[in-house]
Amino acid sequence: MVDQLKSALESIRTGLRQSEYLCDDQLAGSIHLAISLGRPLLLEGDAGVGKTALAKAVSEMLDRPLIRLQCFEGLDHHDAVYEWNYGRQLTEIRLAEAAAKRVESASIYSEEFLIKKPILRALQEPDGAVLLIDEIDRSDEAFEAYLLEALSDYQVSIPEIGTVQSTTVPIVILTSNGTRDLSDALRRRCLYHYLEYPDVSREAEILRIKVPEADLRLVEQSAQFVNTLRKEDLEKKPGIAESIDWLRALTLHGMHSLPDDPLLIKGSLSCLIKTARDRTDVSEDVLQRLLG
Amino acid sequence: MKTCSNDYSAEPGLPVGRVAEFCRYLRENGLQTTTRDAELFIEVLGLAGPGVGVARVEQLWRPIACRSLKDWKIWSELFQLFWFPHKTKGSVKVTGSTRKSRDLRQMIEKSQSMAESAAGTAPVVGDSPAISDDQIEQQKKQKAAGGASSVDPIGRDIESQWMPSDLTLLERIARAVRQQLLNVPTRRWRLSDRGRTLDIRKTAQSMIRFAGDGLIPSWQVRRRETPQIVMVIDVSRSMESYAAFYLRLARAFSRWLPVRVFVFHVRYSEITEFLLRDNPKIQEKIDAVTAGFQGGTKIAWCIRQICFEDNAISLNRRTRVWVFSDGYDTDQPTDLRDVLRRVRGRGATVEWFYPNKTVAGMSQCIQLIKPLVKNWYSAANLTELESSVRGLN
Repeated sequence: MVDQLKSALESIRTGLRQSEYLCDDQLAGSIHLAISLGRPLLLEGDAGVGKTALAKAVSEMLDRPLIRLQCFEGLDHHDAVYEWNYGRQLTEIRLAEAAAKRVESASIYSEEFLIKKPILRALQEPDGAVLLIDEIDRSDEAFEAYLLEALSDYQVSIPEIGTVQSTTVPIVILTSNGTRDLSDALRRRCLYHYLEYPDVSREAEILRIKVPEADLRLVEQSAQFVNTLRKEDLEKKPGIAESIDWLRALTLHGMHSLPDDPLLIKGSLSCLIKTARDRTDVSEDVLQRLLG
Repeated sequence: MKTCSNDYSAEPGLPVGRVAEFCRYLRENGLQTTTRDAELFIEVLGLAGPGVGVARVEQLWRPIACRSLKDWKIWSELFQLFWFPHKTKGSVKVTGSTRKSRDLRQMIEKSQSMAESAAGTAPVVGDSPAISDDQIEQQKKQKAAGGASSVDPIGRDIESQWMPSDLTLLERIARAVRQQLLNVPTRRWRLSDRGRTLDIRKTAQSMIRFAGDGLIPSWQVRRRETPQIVMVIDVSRSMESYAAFYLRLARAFSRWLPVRVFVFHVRYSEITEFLLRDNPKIQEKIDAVTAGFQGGTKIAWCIRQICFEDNAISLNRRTRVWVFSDGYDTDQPTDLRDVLRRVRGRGATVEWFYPNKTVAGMSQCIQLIKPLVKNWYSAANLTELESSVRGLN
């Protein structure tokens, strides 16, 4: 059985790697639990550490459709779960009137007239889906409360139809950037994983996979540079996506290793540094130190 | 305590009893582990099978037990301390059972006196690092140069003079603050069936669905927002005359407002949970926080840890950070400016409650952060505070 667990974790790591996502043992364990226990996985971490990318990679690995719900302020169940197709209902009523037939309310409030939104689609996906509820912290508390039923029992209630239960439990991944505290009720229903920035060697490996055309020496130096840059007091630390963009830019400039002169990389730093204050703070002296 | 062998199945009856003890131990240390989590722990052991390694169990239980970054960070240490106490340095015995009731203040004071009598160590609270005599002397001098207690003593022990009228006034202040801050309508609108204003655009859009023959009126109301208040209270030695007062204030506010309360000197600790519980022991526990006054104050460092490093709070435009301090900081003067700039950068507002006579007379770092602080409130006593908070908006 231990061998089974080991091989399950290994297959998760390999599967994700095939989707160009590198994960460590801890993350593989969390995904394994989310799949085996059928519980949602709440991912927290700085922007750009790969939370959304993980959901995409899991969907590829399991060969299940990825259904994404992007949260925003004011999001409600009409956007997330279902909505009635009023236009079609009206047409149906008109047609019935023209044919001098009586319209039963049950006939126009049936699944045929239901516009399914991400959560309902994920619950009704016959082979199961990967449901990504992205940036849950951007939604309102009321929507978060609405989610509780869907996440704990994998069902939603539609007053006109009744309760819709999932056929195959979807794998639910929630992400949060921590702009708002999530309720304890939601946290309690989820497994929790905090994604941190990768260490230098893992980041170099990611860069190697994502930018295969880059020189290996440049890859390692870039990973080291970005890692050191993150330790500076920056408003917005560069994520992995920024790191990949920067390496691509350097490769496009024909570089095979990081130059000693900070001026030569200053132009490409807009890939890494995204605020005016950080731009000012990362002066040539700081760059020289980081390169040194 | 029996230690757990690497083979979890080897110890008869391990899962249920020991896992329950472990869950209780986690709860004692601030994690919100539930019975369902305990069930999941056992279920996971079943999934993993006999002979599973400790490291693997630690990994698999972590996503179940943790709810936040704070939990995530302390998990490994707690796991090791519970299951392998013999591996940890020191002689603290971890039993997993609830500790007996005790007078916390007395305990801290006793540990302080013991620490002071030991050679070359400073009084400490919890796991605060020890500092040398020289440092203490230096800190005393520094405190005299800038701290509220030495420069601007209140001349009375506020804590011992709580009269019924004071309590009434305190409650009145908390209510007034609540009325001023909570449910303030914003300029933004949200859809609501109970609204009285028609959202013309949405209503017109709904007509398209019915090919112009019908419409669904969309009503809207003003969006009301509840601010998230974060009280950061300085309990360092220079604030000893005021800390108990501010803690009582925090307790009153927590009854009326959604607040998160942190106390700090050279480290920080969240006490929100204490404030929400209502029993006679709690005030004792809260007061005990200030019993361990330690020289040195790291305002910038603590705010950075709370807001950014530990993500203890979420910063957004609804967050109001209320700092209760005399502004005496042993960090570099520019550090506080830098960290508050980051706080403001996330849209949060910073307000400062000070016991000093004037802001102008406060430390250099306070002078540097003046443009970053939205409001300054004089709060040396209840009367001052009441007149100060009238302007709160």
